[in-house]
Amino acid sequence: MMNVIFIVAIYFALLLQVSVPPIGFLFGAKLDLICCLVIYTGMSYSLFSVFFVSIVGGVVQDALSNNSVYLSDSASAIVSVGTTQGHLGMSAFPYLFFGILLYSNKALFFRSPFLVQMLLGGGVTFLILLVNYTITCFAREVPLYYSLDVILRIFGVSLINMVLTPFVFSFMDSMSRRMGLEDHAQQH
Amino acid sequence: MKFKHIPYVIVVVFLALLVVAPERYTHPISNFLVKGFTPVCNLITTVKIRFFRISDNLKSLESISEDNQKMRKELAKLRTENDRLKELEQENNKLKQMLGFVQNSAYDYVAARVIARDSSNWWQGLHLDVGLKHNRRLGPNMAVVTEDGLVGKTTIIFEDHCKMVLIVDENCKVSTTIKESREQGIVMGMREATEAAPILKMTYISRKAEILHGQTVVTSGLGSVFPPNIPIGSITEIRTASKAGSLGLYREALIKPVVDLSNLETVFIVVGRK
Repeated sequence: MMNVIFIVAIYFALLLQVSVPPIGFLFGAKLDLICCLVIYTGMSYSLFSVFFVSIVGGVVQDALSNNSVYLSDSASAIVSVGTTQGHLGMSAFPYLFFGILLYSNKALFFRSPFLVQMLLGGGVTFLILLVNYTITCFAREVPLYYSLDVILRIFGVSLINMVLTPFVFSFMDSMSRRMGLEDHAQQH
Repeated sequence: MKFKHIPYVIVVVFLALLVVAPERYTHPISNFLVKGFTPVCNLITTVKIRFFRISDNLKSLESISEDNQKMRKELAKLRTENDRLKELEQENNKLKQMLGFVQNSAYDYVAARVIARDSSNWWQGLHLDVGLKHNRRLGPNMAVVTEDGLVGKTTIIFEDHCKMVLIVDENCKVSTTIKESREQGIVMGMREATEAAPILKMTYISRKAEILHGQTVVTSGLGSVFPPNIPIGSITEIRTASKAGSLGLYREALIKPVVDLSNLETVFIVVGRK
């Protein structure tokens, strides 16, 4: 049953992601709510749920992005023609990796305090985006470098998620309580 | 490894296969997944546009009262001007039709509405509400423009919508010419650029080229993706050959796009010559 809630949550998270424009004063950061959901699942549910949210979230996010396009080589740089190649699901790997990492180490964290949720939201998002950026650079075959602007943009997304993660936790907890899944959430 | 973990390993292997699969295999999956979002994105865009129109018209009671008093005073004056303005309006409409962007162009366009943005932080792209079912001539690598200038190019065309990359994206490269000096180069987006803070880089400019701040950069038409002479932007900074990181072989210029990419609502896809 919880997986249905996860699907709905992923749907609305991605709907927000594609509707909200980049935030200028946060260095052009966009929302990345799938990160929050992965953190929540890693801290609250089973390994199956971590896989489910990471893979479904990552794959659908890539489908909604130009991630599935590969557009560079020296010839295409001149004539501006790109070839397309699938990279569908590429974003799922960082989500999956950090989701599993959180799941297997969740005993180390207190789940409830807001501060912990905020720090997890900010820290894990920063790491996920850093890995995602690195993978994206390789997939696009562009030079890999970490300029100040890139780091600041990742920092901007992390700040957003720092604020949003506690809300995601309380919202998803209340949803699972309404669905009678409270014990399941606490048990994990 | 425990046996209970084997299904997870299989799932990861399948995911890896999906990532490396060619686009012709992943296209139907993408299409299927995105289909669920397109109608809702369309709806959100429609509601958003209507909301902003209404909110523009809404004012607080105080300001309405003040406006009312001012308007009463101005009413008499405006009445006398009314007839003259009506004539001007008619004339203006005629001029608009005459100078209309689409009618006057040598190209065929498909008008499209922006319905969503790229979901990733590392791509600068948009989703448009037209697809193959609206126009069979649509395809990837077609120029996307507004009446002001170049916006980007299409990447993937689905049945009922399509994706495009903006010119500020690092992977969107355009063969260009400086209008004043006819100097050629390649314009590309910068990784640091976003819709909110757009900036472009023109590279491969000859060391001896005479380039100045404020000069206009337009498409050159080479490569046959972008029609020639579409405005891209104006030069804001010129980098010397040594600073361009090119071993002194060429120079670079930074360009401010002529199109306001953060407020795009309607764009035109160039589908071919008339």
